[in-house]
Amino acid sequence: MSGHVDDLLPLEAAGALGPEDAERVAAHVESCEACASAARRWRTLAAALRDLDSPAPSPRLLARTRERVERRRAEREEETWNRAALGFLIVFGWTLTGVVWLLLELVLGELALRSEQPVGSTLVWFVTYLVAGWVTAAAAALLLGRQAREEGRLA
Amino acid sequence: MSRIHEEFAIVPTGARVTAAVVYLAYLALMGSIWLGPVLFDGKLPHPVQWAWFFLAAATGLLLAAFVVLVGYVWADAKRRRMNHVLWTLLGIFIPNAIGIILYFILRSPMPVPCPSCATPAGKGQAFCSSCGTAVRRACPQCRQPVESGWTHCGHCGTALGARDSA
Repeated sequence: MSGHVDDLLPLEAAGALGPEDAERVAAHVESCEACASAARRWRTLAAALRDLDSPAPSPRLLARTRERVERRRAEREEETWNRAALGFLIVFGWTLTGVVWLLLELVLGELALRSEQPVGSTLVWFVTYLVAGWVTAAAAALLLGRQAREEGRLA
Repeated sequence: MSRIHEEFAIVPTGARVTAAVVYLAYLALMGSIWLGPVLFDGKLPHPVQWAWFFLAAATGLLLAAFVVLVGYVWADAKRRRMNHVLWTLLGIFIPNAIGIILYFILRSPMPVPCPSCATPAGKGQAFCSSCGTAVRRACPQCRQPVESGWTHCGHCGTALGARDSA
């Protein structure tokens, strides 16, 4: 007979099937002697397994496992927090850059008014500030990244 | 308490006070530039001057937030047993908050408290420096800390079994 349900029988014996599959297995087993016999064997095995004493894990193993799970959970939380913080900081950094433009505009305007001397365009000062900032940041990132790699904090 | 509150709580009082002082000083400076000359003449400022002043006041909040973030870097680096003075200086002097971004990328993980005496143990430690209790998975051969998922010790190459755990 086609449509045997051998692969579902261990799950049926363990009571792990959903209602739809359980109904399908029950209907098939009624009409298929081979599967009915296999189902009886699986049920006997499942009942024998249920009767076995369950070994209790040692308190030390339990504590260690719990501690490890807690540590992994904390690591995952830390990663999520780090990602959110980095996203915020990148937006914050660019906003600060915009503020620097405003401040330069203000300071240079005041200086030009008070000294009555040319103080240069805001754009030139701003680009100089940006380039100096990025060069400093790149140098720091290189040095710190190398140090972190040596310490094993970066892959 | 949410995570943001927990993290904000570690910012030292000195940094919070400094942030408030910076903001007030910045506000006073901006007020003296945009509103001062007009107010001293006994006139009401023009709406454009008010607009500039309020814009400046808003940007001052960013500067105050920057000071708070630098304070956070100081306290966080300290609790992670990193060089907090160096990282704070980098946070201040690398512009556009890039120093703080670098800190978040490169900071060490939080030290693990020893299960016996609660002394914090840094990432490089497999055993508690106070009582000798194992705090992390360690190589059975060289006793160096090994990471979960490693099948061989990254320090001496010894094959690691499932039992080589702290």
